[in-house]
Amino acid sequence: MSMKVSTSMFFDKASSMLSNVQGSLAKTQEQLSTGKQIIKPSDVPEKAAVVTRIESELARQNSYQNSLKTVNIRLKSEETALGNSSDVMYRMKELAMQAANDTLSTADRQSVSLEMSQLRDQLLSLANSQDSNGNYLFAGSRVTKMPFSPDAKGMVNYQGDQNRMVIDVGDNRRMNLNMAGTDAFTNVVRDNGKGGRIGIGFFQSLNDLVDSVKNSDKVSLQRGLGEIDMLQQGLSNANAQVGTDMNVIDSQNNVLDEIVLRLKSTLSDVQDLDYTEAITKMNKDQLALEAAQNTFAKISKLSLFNFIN
Amino acid sequence: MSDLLGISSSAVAAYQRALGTVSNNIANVGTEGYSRQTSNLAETAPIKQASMYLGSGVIFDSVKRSFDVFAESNLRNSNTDLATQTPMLNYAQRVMDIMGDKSIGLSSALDTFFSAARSLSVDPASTIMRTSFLKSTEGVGSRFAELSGQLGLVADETHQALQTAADQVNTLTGQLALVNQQLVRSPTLDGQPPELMDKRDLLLRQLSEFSRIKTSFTSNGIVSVSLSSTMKQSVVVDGIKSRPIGLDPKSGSKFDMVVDPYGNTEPLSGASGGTIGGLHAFISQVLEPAQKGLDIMADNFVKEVNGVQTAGIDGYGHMGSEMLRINSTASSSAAGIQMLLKDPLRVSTGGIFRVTGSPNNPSDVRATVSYVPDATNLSALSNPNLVNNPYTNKPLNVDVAGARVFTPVTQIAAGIDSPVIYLDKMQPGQQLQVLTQDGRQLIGTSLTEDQKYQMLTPENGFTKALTYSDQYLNLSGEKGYRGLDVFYGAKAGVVNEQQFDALGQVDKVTPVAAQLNSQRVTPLQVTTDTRIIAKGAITLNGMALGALTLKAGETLGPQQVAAWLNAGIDQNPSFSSDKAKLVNPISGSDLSIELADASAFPDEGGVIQIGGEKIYFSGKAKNSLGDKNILTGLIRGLSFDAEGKKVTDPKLAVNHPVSEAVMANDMLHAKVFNEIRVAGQALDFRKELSINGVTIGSIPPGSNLPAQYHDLTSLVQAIQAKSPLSGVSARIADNGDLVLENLPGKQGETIQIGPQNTAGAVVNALGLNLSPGADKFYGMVQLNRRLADPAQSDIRLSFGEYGPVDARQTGSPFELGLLGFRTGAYIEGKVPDGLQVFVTGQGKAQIAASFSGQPADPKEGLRVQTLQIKFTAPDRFVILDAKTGTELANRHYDNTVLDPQIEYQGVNVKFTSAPEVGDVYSVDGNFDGLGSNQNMLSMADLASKKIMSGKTFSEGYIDQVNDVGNAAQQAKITKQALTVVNDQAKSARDKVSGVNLDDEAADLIRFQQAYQAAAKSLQVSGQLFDAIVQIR
Repeated sequence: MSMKVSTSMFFDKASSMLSNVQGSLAKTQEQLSTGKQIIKPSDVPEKAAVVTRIESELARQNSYQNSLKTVNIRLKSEETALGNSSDVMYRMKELAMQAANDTLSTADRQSVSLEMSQLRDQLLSLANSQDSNGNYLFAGSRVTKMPFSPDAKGMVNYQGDQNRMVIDVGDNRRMNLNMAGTDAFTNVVRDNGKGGRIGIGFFQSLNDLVDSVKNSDKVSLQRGLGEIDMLQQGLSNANAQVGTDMNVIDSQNNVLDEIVLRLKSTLSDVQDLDYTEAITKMNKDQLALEAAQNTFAKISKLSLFNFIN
Repeated sequence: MSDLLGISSSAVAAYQRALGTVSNNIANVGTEGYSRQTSNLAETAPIKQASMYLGSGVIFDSVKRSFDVFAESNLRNSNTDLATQTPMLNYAQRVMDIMGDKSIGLSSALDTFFSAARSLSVDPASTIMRTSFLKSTEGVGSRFAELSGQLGLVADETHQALQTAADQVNTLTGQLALVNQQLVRSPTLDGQPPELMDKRDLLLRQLSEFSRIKTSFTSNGIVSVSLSSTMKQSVVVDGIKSRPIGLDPKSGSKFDMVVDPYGNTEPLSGASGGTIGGLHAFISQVLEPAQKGLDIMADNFVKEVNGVQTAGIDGYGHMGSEMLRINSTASSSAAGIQMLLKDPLRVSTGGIFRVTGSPNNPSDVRATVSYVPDATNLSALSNPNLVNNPYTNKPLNVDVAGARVFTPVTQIAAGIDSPVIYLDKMQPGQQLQVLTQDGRQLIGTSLTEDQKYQMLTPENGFTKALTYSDQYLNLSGEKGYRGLDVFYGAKAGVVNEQQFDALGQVDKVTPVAAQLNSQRVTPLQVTTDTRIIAKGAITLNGMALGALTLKAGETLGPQQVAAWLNAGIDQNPSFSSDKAKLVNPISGSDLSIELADASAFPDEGGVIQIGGEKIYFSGKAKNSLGDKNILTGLIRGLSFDAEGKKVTDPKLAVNHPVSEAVMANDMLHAKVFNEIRVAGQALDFRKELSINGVTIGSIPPGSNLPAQYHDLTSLVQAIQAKSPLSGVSARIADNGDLVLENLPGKQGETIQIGPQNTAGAVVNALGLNLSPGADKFYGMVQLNRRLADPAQSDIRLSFGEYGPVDARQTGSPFELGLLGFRTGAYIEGKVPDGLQVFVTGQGKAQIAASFSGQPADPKEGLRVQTLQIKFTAPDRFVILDAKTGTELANRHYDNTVLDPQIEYQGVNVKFTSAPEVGDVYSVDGNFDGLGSNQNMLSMADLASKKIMSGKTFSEGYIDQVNDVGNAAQQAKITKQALTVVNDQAKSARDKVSGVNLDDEAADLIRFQQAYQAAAKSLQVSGQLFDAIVQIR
């Protein structure tokens, strides 16, 4: 039995079909104008979660990149200070060796010691380097305290702490943030005269050396020459550490760039619009709308009443 | 009448009506709910003529309403199903758009927060970074509030939507009731006007969009409607009556619905489907879980952030204080997050401990420190059976038995104030032992090798690889453990009594002199000469007391104990004063002397010293002025033997001038006393009483009440009346207690109370439990010390060493117990470290404890002290308290294990390699580590911590968004499917009841033609009639 369609149903259906096609067209048009596949999260609930997740991931990677930038600035300051310190130490050693030469007179040694003590002061100011915020670079976490400040007697005791901090620079990667003063300007070990050993601070050792030159104290001068090698060794180890850390920054930056690129392309796949597809769809919808309008106009004219007169 | 005219006219009339029906259909083509009507024509009854029947025409029988009950009810159900999905879809999408939005959603705020934490960890000293971290934290809080507000708006809207739906339902059910009223008029369904039936069905169809409905029809078409699956409940149309529905005004939820909210209320149970069901489904499946999830997240966020914040050190070097709080008056957790910190320097970025190598360390070994709180014991006493009660009435019973040489008693938490552990009813040789977790013994006796081996194990709460030390044992002050004041023995101190002035304001504090009371001294009779206490075994305030020896047949009682104590005191000048002056010179034979002031001297006698002579007096008498300044019963020329006993030598009794100073043991004195205190409410005046065998109260024959007393006053009077006989007097104390005491001259004597219990029941008026043998109350000893210097006026009975050099022995708690004194382990002030308490020595004993204060936060305690770790050998280190120099621990260091570390009360120190001998590392509370970032790293780590039931914050939130999205998605798909079903249902109904204009046009032509034909017949009949009339 054939289906009877009531007149009102015929009109209802036709109009709902037309509005459907029109809605679809409007949607495509909105997508085309924004360039986005997803206008509202509710359009594609399953994908909205993915988008949020990736965006959150991107924000995290971004913050790692920012951290790397800050550390890089810090490391560059450290590199400068330590590099200069190494240079000064070379000159210091040169002078000490010169002073150890027996041909030098006491007066000559005194003038040499004058230069040495100036170099020592220069080293002191390098060890007390500050960053752009005025915080001391080599003070551990006591950043507001001058780490190598001479006391009333001219003794330099380390005032910082030995907090060696790390930061996150990747989901599973941490790197050094700071260098404690005593890690760069290291102690030397001396006999304490009682068969034991005792640690002597960097600047104390230098002070002793300068004094021995000034006083032409050969025994102390020889000891000082030995110690200056150890001090230099400490500084170059610190330099090497900074260099390694800077390499870490470079490689980690590359890793992060790659991760960000991958995340961005995934994000684009999910939320950006495929124009070709969208335009094709729009043309199709347009065609459908025209066809629906045409047929409706034609069919709705048909009525038996037209033939009753 | 079967004639042409009649037939034709009936046909004309019938078709006229049929045409009417068709044109009615055409007219109602656009009317909602209209059912197509068809005409029913029927033959009229034929007329019989002769043997045949002749047709008599047509009759318009009825107008039939095209109607299919099944299609109609099917459409209603389909309407309900479809309408259910609409609110779910619309509102879930709204929630989705709110929660998933970048600018309102939580995800981006959390990202900003964690990024700020990371940035701060890179530059912890920067105030700018600190400020931006605070702002971002605040940002998370306000994002929570914003989200909560938006969801609240959706909730309000759904509430409104439910209200509107209820109103619409009420309108429809009201109209249905009106329709029913009109339907009553016809007894049959056929007799009902089609227009009314259309209206009824249309109303039902509209109603079905709001909820699934159950209908029941009577035979004449009256409908009853229920919103549940049965007609027994939630009936909203019952014949000609309707009942409104609405939101429950009494419910706490804004979504609960009831039938007849302001009348005979009935819960709208079982209602499902439709707009109302859809709204409820949205609320319970999407909205409420989303709100709840958000609140849980808010709670967790606050908890976790505060947890990290309070575990670190802020820019001022203080422990971090809570950063966030949930306002208790807020409507929900998410809406109520409040920022407590305003000062960026109070963000705690730093670790709470810091380790620093000494500048003179011979090695360059680096150390790192971390802290893992040890949360095992947070109660004051770890043993729950040991209560804070210094009395002997609720003891903890301990038993040292078998191969074990000790029993653990309890652990005392650090921070507890002035704890005392008492040892009662102990066996000979039993001792209390108090040690730190690192094996430093504070109180007790030096442990034997066996005891050390058995006790100092991790199972007993000790650290591993410790070394035992008794260098601080029973020592106080500078020599003691961390400057503590510890004591082992019986002790009484000066009590500071708070005074109040006339207005009740706090006035000065008055010190009250120390008084040490013994317990009742149980008599001990000896059959041979017995030394109860060896000389030197017991000390009084550090002074060794003499021997206490009994001869065969003698009994040890309070009198003996007091006399022995006084003998010891008498020998010691440190308890003497020289304030007293002689009034007259003394000659060698005087038996009494008068002093200028003897008020401080004990009435019952003692020893004074004048010049080099010691004089014993046994009492005091009044002088002419009425002052008791005369000392009587003198024994002159006194000295003491090696055992501390008095000996006299008359040769030593010499004359003394007035100028000679008098010294006397007036500062400390022992005396005996006896008293029985009974609380007023324990007295029972209906019962009998006897004291020392003297009847005080008895029940005369024929009565059931004692004749002598009926209340407290009369009881006291009755006791007093017999006191010359019993030797016991009674008084009422300030607090209402009844106090029984010996009469003067009988102090310290045993008091016996009767009658004894009968058949286990207490039958004496004092309510005392007098089981056989327990009716004697023995005397007690009281030591009194005068208040010369409140700081040094306490009384301390303790243990001393005695015996030959090669076999030294020490007095024991058991010996002190024989004298009636209780041994306790006393610690003055706050306990700095957790302490372990044990009992050693075989047998059973009882333990009691008293303390004040609360356990301290261990990390605070650790922070304020600086610990020094000092390597004394390659495999040994000590931990020192930098302030007092106390050696807190002395342990073995094992460098061969994989990850060697030093752990002290949760502080973990690790070294890059093995430290050298002489290396010193200080661990302090990081009071100035502004640039330290450890704690901020922990904050940033919250980003990856699985907090939300196995998920991180971000994952938890995204999952919630996803859940909402899935609900919306499912509603969308279901709605699409149901739309198809609904279209079919509509078509099915339409097929039967719809009007098609082409059909009607055909009918129109059909009936028009029939009408024309009938009219023609009529015309023919006229012509026929004319033809007949013209025949003339």
